[in-house]
Amino acid sequence: MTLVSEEVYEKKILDKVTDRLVDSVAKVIDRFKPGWSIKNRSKIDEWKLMFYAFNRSPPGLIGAALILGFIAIGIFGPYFATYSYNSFLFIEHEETYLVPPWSTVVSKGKTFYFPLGTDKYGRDLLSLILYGARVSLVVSMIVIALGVPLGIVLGLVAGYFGGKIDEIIMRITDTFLAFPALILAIAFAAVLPERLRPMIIYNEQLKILLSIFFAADPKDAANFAPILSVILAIIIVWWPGYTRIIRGSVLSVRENLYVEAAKALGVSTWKILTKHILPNVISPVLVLITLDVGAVILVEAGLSFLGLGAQDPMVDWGKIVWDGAQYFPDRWWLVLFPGLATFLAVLGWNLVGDTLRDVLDPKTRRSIEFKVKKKKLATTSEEGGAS
Amino acid sequence: MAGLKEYLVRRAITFIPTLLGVTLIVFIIANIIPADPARAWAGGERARPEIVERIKREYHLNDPWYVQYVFVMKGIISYFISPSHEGAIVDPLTSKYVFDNIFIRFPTTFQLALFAEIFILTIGIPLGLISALKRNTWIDTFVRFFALTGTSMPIFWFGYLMMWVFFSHLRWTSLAGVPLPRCYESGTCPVTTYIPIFDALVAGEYDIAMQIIRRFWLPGFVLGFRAAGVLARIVRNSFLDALSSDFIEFAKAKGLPKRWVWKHALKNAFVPVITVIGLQFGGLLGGAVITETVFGLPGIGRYAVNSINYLNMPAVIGVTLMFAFMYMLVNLMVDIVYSALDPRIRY
Repeated sequence: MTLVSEEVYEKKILDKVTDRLVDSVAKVIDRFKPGWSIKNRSKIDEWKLMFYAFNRSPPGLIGAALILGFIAIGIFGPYFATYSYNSFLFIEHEETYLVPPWSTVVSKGKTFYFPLGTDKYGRDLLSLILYGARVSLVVSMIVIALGVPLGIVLGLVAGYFGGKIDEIIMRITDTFLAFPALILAIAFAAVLPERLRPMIIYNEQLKILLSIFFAADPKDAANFAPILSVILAIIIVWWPGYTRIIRGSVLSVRENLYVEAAKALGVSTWKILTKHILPNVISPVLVLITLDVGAVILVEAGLSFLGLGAQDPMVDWGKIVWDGAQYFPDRWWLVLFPGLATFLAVLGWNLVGDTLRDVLDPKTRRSIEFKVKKKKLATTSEEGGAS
Repeated sequence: MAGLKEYLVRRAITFIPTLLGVTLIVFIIANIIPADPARAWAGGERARPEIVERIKREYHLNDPWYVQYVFVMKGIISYFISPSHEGAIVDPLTSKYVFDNIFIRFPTTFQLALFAEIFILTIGIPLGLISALKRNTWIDTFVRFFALTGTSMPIFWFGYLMMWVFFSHLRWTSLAGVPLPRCYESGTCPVTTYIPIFDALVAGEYDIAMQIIRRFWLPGFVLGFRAAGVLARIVRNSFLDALSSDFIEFAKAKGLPKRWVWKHALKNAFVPVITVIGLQFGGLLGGAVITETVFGLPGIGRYAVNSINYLNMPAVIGVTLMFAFMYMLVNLMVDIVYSALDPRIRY
């Protein structure tokens, strides 16, 4: 069965790729809920259209490419690194001390090639950046996966129930929002490691799990604690923003008739919250999440620049810059490359978020859709105007 | 303006629970550490036990947490209430009052934020207006790109890059010391605002003022860069919103001169802009920590990071309280300006 959109729009290769993507997602959902894709045909069409609009925005595509690159490097980078983050070549090969980029070092009959130079321990900078990508990816994903739902749930509860519950939740939220986020995150990131360290060191499973997460040697388990505390610290300062936004939207949505009707029909509170209210308040948050992944990467890099987060020998983009800063500007590569990596990763998320805002916003969306040229088919009748 | 006074009092009362909550959060943070802060303050592992014991007694470290909390709160309040600072909380590392330490460093941070704010306003507002007027041209795209670059830039990285250009190569800035007006020492300042650049200008010490500008313009630019692009986008969007609203259509139809139409549009466009500027100021304070670290400025951000590293909890509580208080004060000022700009908003 062909969908309406396939007949109407002139498509490029990318559109066909995203069509495939949407179709396969629909198929997966179909497997769990038979008949879903037939019932939700218009929704699938809508998604495809959104992708067409997205595909026609060069900044969005550049951003998507950067994000895909960041995720791929974060996942596979450590396995492709030429040297491990804890291979201190300097101990045996003194010539590898602070080698500039694009240089080959011959020492004791061995030849080393360092595309981006080395740090003061003779570690290959490219490998360090690949390992740092993993830490950035894991931190940002965990923060978003835990902090955002926490904020959303609290916002839903506060907005829907109102009264005392609302008052208590919002007082706490306001208190957290009264701090500059970075200051509070610094404080938490500084005091938490002492508490977390014993938990990690004496728990073998957690140790193994985290060593896979951070692509690190389980021997460095004591150093997982500071990174974990950075994650916790950022979650602690991140949820209040979402709570406030969601609560505000819930306050207006809950007055709608359909919520009233659901209540009268005896639908459970949980179902009203998840099925009737949440879908109507979530869309402004989607853009915010995309932008916040970048913001979390930045905060994390900033914290590790201040000496919180990854500790030697583990690495992180902010930490490489901080370590290299003492040799700046003579050994510029130690600052330039890790900072550039951070910048590009964050830029990717911001570009996609910015484009998504246009695509998801009904006001600007139409104007983008008009740019998607419609094929003039003599055979298509009135159906062609659908969108 | 009786309404304003009432409003201020009401707002000041709502400050109190938030500030109490803030101290409580900080206090919880301080109590998370299992490490012995008294030992760290006394000089680490080899500290003499009687000194550690004395510090513990002085700071009530052996008492339950609520006794400690009351002690810290008393210490903070008595600094501001009694003129001789009797019983005020003391920084265990420098043996000075915590708030003395903060107020010494405050002008540096404030001056940094001031320079940043100047850059934000002088770059952000004109760029935003231009890109609204030349919508969908190359300059609009450029502003969008500029804003995205700003928000994506790790502030420390940008700081080093700018340092490399303007210090290592061009020598347009200096990176050592913090210049202060000469009249501070001699005590001959005509007015003392404790903001060095103002005092130097008022006292006519233009060479010192130039030195301050040389020292602060680059950190200020780095700190403000991120916010400038964002502000430009906000100005653009709200100006466009205002221009497309009904009252502007009406004013145009009525044949008002262009200047007047603009005045109406600008006044309405600037209500959301003021809020953003206020919120960004809080971001500046946070970002100041990193900027101060990169440029070696001895402000409160540096003080906070150093105190955290030494588990210096009295100082941490003081600093966070200070940050939270300034943040709330800025929000209050935003609300007041808001109601002055927009007659529809009543307090």
